[in-house]
Amino acid sequence: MVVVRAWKSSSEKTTNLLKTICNLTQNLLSENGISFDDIGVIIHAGVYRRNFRTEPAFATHIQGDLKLKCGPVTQESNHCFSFDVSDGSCSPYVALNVASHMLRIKPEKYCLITIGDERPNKQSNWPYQPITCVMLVALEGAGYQLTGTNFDSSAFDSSTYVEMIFDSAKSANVIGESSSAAQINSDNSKFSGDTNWLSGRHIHAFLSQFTEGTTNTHEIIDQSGKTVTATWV
Amino acid sequence: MVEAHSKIISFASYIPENYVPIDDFAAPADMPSKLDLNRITGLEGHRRSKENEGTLELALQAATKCIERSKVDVADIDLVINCAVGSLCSELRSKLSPSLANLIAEKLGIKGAECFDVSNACSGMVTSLMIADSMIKTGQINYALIVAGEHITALVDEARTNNLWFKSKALASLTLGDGSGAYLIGKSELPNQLVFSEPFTLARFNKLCVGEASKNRPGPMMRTKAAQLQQGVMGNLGEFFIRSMKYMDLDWEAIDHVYSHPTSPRAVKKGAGIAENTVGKIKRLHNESQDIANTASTSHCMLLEKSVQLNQLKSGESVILVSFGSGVAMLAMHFYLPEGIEQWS
Repeated sequence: MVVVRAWKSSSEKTTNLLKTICNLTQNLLSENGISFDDIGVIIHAGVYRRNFRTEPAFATHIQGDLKLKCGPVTQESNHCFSFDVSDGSCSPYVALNVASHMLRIKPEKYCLITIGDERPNKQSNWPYQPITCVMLVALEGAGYQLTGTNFDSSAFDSSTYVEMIFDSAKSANVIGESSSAAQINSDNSKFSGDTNWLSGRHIHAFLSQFTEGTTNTHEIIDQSGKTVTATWV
Repeated sequence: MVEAHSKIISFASYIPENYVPIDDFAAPADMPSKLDLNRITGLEGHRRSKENEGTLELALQAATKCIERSKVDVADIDLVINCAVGSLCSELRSKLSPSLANLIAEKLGIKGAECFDVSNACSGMVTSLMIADSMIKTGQINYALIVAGEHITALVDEARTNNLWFKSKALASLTLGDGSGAYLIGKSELPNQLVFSEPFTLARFNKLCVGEASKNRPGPMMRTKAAQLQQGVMGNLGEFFIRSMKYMDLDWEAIDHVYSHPTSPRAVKKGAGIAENTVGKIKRLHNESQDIANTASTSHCMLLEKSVQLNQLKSGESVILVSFGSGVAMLAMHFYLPEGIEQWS
């Protein structure tokens, strides 16, 4: 599928996700001697944005703040394409799968995948400790090679959706209470995090313990019961 | 790897019956300086969903009709992408996690499909079709359902609660309407039945149209610097058309039907003028959004549905969808109309 050529994460408590992602990206590129010109696509994967923003895509803010190929269209100009994907905690693997296609559609060297969440507003309860993660992904080369993903919705429980609701007492739109699907047991052969983790934490924890030279299996079980199993070498 | 070919098998929109004339929500008497939105935009009204219809219900209406038209068994659909800008239910709550695509698939009886949401504002539909097209061409999937329900008259209602003298950035929200759209795509025997332009994001315009939660009332709000946004798109449109025609290896003047994202009928007319000055004459421009307004990611599909209802489309004719979305995303999609479209009801 795709190769994660380099990645970087930050577990520092962030008050500005955009700034954290841009700093991580600049450091990642500079540490690996990669030029911004080699990035043709930015995909952001996350659920929570400041003030529950829905448009434009968060990835367009990343592209804009990185000043990445933002010039006018000419017959020779080079451009980047940016958009967001999401599917709860399974979002990183949606992004990696979509990246494998975008690298064919827009065949520049790298796709930048950014994963992260931020507290939408101070009125919302925020029990999470998100980790922000950025990855440079290519179709080939050295790195962490994702060889397959399998999404399984058989235990998906639609009553567990996390929603934005209006809290009259706070006079604000906030994250509503939600429940979790019945517990799904993961076997010990797979690396699996907690169902309450946000997606950046899942991918950070997995890549941090990755063992080179062997097959690594990663399972993410979303709060909704949906799961994704990924194999890496 | 030998690539397969793909095609549009069917599409469908649900156009809510409830038509609301512009004077009911943006009468000049209620506007700053008696602004005549009809004169400025060419918009005459919009459609409003029923009280119990939100994003999900709208999406299901379009998806059900699209699947019926395709004659594809739901068991064979292996990808569902929801690309609506928001996921607002009729009570103004929004589903955040996991993706709404999971619930759409469940309600349609689609089991075992990969499901996720794509967010790229009004370009979300064409972006999603481009991703699904690649998944089909590389053999990852056989059939994809791309769907969105846009329950966005909530933004009109929000705008109307403001003093528009002081909040002029809310004015563009009055050009929106409710609706939904769905496409079903699959493998094709023939090449080039579905092709895309090189996609661009002109991110220097990324702060000109922002949708987020309303500050002190349920649901969302949208703030737009409409003139600057239109200038940003129009200023790049000519080069975009020339480049896209070359990239897709198409002759603009040979395309049977042209559909542009209808920010407003007048804006589309202006864009068509740029197209005619750069890539040639337009055979047929479908600019009939005056009574459905701008329905975000579903706008092309809503116009296609109107064309189906007016018997304007024939099997094998060519269509181009020109897509813009806040960010600013620019991309286009060219396809041939499916067999049997004349019999669609």
